[in-house]
Amino acid sequence: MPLLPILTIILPLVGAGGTVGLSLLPRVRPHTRLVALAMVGLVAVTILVSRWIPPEALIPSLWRPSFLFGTTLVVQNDAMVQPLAFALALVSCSVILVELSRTDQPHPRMMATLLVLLAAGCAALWAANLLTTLICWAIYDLLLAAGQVVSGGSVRMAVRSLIFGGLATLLLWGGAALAGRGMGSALWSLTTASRVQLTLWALAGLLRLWAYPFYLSMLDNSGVALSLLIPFALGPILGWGLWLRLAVVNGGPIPGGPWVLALAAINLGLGGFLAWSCGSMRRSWSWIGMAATGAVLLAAGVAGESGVAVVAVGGTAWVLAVGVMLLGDGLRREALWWSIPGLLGALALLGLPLTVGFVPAATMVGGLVRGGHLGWGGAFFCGYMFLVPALVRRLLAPPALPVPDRRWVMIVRGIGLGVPALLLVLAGLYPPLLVVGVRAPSLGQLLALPGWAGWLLWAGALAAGGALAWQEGAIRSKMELVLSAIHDLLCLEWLYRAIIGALERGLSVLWAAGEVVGGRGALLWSWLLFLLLLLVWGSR
Amino acid sequence: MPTLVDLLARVSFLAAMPAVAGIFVTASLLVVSRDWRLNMTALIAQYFFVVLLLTRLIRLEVAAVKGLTGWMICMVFYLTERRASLLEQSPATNSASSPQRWHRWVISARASFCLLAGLLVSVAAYTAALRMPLPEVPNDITLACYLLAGLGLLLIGLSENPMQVGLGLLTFLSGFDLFYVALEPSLAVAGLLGAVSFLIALATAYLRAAQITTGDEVRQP
Amino acid sequence: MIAGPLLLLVLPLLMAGVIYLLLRWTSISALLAVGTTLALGIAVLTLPLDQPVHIWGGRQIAMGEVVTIFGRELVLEQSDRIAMAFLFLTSAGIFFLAWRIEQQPLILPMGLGLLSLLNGALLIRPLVYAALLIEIAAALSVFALQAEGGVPTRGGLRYLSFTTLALPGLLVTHWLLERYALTPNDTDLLRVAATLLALSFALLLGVVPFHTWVPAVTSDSVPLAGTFVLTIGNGAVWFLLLDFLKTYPWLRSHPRFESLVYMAGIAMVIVGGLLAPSQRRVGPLMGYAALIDSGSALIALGLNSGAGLTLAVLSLMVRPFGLILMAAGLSGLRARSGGDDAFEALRGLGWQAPWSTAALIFGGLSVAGLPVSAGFAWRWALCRALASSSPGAALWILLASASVMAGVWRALWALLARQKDRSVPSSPEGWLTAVVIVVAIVACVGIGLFPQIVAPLADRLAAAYTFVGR
Repeated sequence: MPLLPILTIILPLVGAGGTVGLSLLPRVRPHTRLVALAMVGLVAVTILVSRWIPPEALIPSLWRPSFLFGTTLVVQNDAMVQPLAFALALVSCSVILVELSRTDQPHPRMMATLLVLLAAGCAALWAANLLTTLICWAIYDLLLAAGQVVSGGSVRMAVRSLIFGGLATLLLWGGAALAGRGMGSALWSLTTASRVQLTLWALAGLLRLWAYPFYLSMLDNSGVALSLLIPFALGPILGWGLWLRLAVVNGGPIPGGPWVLALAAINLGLGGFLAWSCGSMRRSWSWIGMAATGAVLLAAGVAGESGVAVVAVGGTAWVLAVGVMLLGDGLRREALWWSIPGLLGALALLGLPLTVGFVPAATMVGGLVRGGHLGWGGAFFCGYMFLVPALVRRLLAPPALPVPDRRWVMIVRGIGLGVPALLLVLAGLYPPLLVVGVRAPSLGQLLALPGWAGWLLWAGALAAGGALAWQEGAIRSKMELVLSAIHDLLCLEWLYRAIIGALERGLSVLWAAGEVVGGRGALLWSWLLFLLLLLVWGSR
Repeated sequence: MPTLVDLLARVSFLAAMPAVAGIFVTASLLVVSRDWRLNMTALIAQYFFVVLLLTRLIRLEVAAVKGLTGWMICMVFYLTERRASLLEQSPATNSASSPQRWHRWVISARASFCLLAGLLVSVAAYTAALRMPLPEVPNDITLACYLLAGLGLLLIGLSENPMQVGLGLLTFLSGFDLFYVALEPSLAVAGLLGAVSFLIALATAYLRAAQITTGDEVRQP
Repeated sequence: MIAGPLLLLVLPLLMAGVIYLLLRWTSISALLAVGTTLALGIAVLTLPLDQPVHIWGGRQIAMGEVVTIFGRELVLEQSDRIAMAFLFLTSAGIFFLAWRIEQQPLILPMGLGLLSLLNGALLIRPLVYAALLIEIAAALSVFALQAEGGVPTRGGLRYLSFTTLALPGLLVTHWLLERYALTPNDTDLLRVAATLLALSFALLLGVVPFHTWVPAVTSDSVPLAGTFVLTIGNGAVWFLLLDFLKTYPWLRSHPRFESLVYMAGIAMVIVGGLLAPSQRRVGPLMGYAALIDSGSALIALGLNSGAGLTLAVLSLMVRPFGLILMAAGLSGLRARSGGDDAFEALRGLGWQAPWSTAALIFGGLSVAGLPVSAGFAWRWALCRALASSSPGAALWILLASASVMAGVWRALWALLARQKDRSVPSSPEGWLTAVVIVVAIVACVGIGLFPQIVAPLADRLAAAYTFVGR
């Protein structure tokens, strides 16, 4: 029986059950975090080991009869998505370690939620065909929403995440329905798809990535005090998994064409601006993540045949960098080394050399310059110009928690923050370390990719961003109202409210019609409509 | 003492167009009227005329049993409405007295609409009887069947009051029964149809009792 | 020797009487009801038709023995076994939930009585008498649908009205077909019979424009009783339809059969899909979701193939999982909102009744046919079957699913709204209620992940109706 995929799913579930069960015993309750840590650690090790083991397919449920369903549930530890799964497990591990170092409160329910979310995330990444992907996505969405509600998060965000997750699921399913008789029956690696199908799937992917303008399910995070809530912010990992599959189905490049690239550029440009103009620093990470998403997508789009490698590396970098940044705790002047992981995360999000983010960034800049895409280049410039001060603002924020004084706490927190940050650097120095099965360029090749023009463009954007960061205080105090107005305008909340209002009015008309036909005199209405139908049919 | 069968035999001369006319009048009265006493009277008379017509199609004894079933249904309705009217007359209820409500109903636009609709349906039934005669039954009984079915359907559709709907269903079923006995004279079917009618009466009486209990009557004309 | 058909008819009736007398002791009544239906469901599936089985005291049960009552035969055929097992086991599920959800649940005795009648409808030959038994069941179901102390249920009246209007068509058809047997040259008789049958089943199944009884039943009736009507009552009608198609093959080979059934299904899906998201109350939303599901089953039947028939039967088998959960959730929420299930009235109730909320959500997922639920497996198979021949229909079905979920998400939004002035609940959901709901949710999700538990049964049942090729 293929062990690896099942272990990565079962171990967290066992850990969740054990955590909740043991928390009922007062003596053992403080140690439940260790159980959770052990399970997550095992999962991370298992995924790491899977690098050297050929992929194994597991059929958890045989859907019979086959003439009805055409396929069955299959999970497979695919080498392609292995980096994403490892990043998820590693960040989860770091979250528990940092939480261990921050507080003595065990939070068993939150631990259990983190573990089941990890299991669902792994299952969704290992899903080997469309049917399994649909089901795993649904499970992940339900757990994400339930976890947000249970943890006291925003109910609005929880319901929105369910809605947009459901929409993404329907788009994926709808694309499969266009495949005809063979709907969803083939493994992802063997799937072929038409242009319309790929377009629908690309839309589903954008929804999953929380990309602009479909970002409404993006986690608010404004009330996050617990680091245990960070995995809720990693929902786009499912999107990265889908984009990886789509790139493989499309033969290398990501599907969608110019409109995907245009959206990616918008995400980068607007994401940067929104991150900088955002009044709340806690909320700014969401826009930072959006800008980084746009950068990776744009890079994958201009990479052409190397799109698979760019998505694999870029998506993994996104997960690690966002995780590290969220785990970070601002600038500690008395202990600057605690701010290094956050700094590395920021550098990775900016895609600077010697970080793994350099792979997609260099590809993007090189592609923009070679292709002569002025518009997208402008978006890149704007995005980076605003992203830099946003990141600087976040890095220089005063810390919320005191410096740890106990040695074991320092070690635990150091491991939690340091390991993913270290991976960001190691993979940056040697990109093939992270990805398996796809050809990732070496550091030297990456340095040569942008060319002189690209380096100039990049440097110019960073310099402009640096200048903006330097003058941040002065500019912000003079333009606060304008910035806030532009921020609200670009957030599109007003547009969504207008759309919902219009939908409500339209639905009211339908409701009224339904009440008339289904209210008093329903029987007579039924017969009247029936006679009308008969007349129409008879006249044909 | 003459039995019911004997009585029916004596008035069997009415079992033609006079009975059809009687059915038209009683069914129209059910459509227009909202007074339970008038409705009960109309229903009793309607069953009488239906039984008369049935005597031309099936055995007198079977027709008499069907009539008895119908009159038992009327008894169920009577008891229910009687109880309802007693509760309405209690000091706890503030609703207008029954004659006042009836007077208001008669002069209301809704009553006029019901009357006109009833007339329209009657004309349609007459036309249908001419154009699409039913098999195995004479023309006058065809007309009676269409009248009962059409006016019954109208009665069901015009109101959501349980009693009105119940009356409509029973009127509709009477019309169908009048036709179907000519096709299928089986006693088992006759018994089952009688059981269906009785259960419909019980169900509507149950809902009427619920309506009175909750005071929902003022909302449903 | 006890004849199987008699046992299947008489025992539920007897137990209905006993349970009615014991109704004030809800747990005992529910235990008896669940036990009876479970035992009968298992018995009808497992006991052989061709030989008697010895039980206690030297008595024997012969399931396959033909019983004659008033000249009419009661015959248990192979196709009827799985159908009746479905009716019994679904009833067991409804009674199980009614135990914790309803107070003094009249559905227990009434449901058993209705089961007896509906089983009789499946067993009796000729088929025409089944129509009368279904009509009697419809009249009796009004008693179960009417909430005690509540306003008169519009749904019960409307269901009774539409069923009564369907009766003449079915009865006259029988006579027409007998006439046709005597005068086979008169093909007009077949044409009229087909028209009347189509009209009657359109009324019984709630085909547009005769669909208004479906949301009315769920709107103001006792939710679990409404579910009983929409699953078991509706299921009996479906099996009756399949019996007609098996007995009269010319019906299925009629040139307009496929298009008519397909169009009827599409109309139900479209109308349900348009009206579901506009609902402001949970009850009618549930009704329109059931309408869409029923329409999808008709689309499957309209495929006129073995796979299509299997899908239609599968839809009947999985529909109860979703509807029962939704009804349980609706019941629990109504009990806390004073009987009002409008979204505004439910604001913040989700925090006081989390298990009812969870039941509503998972039930909604299943009825909408979205993962991860029992309903998803059958919708996936249906979309797959439609993908090559009618991708438009598959698209409509997906859109309708989205519209139902839109309504459910609106309900969830209202339920989870944080209200400052909502006081501590006076009657929180007990642990036993939570366990019952969790069991139901696990069953629903379990079938969604492992549809091979029910799908082969659907295939076997469809194979027993030999009017389509495999």
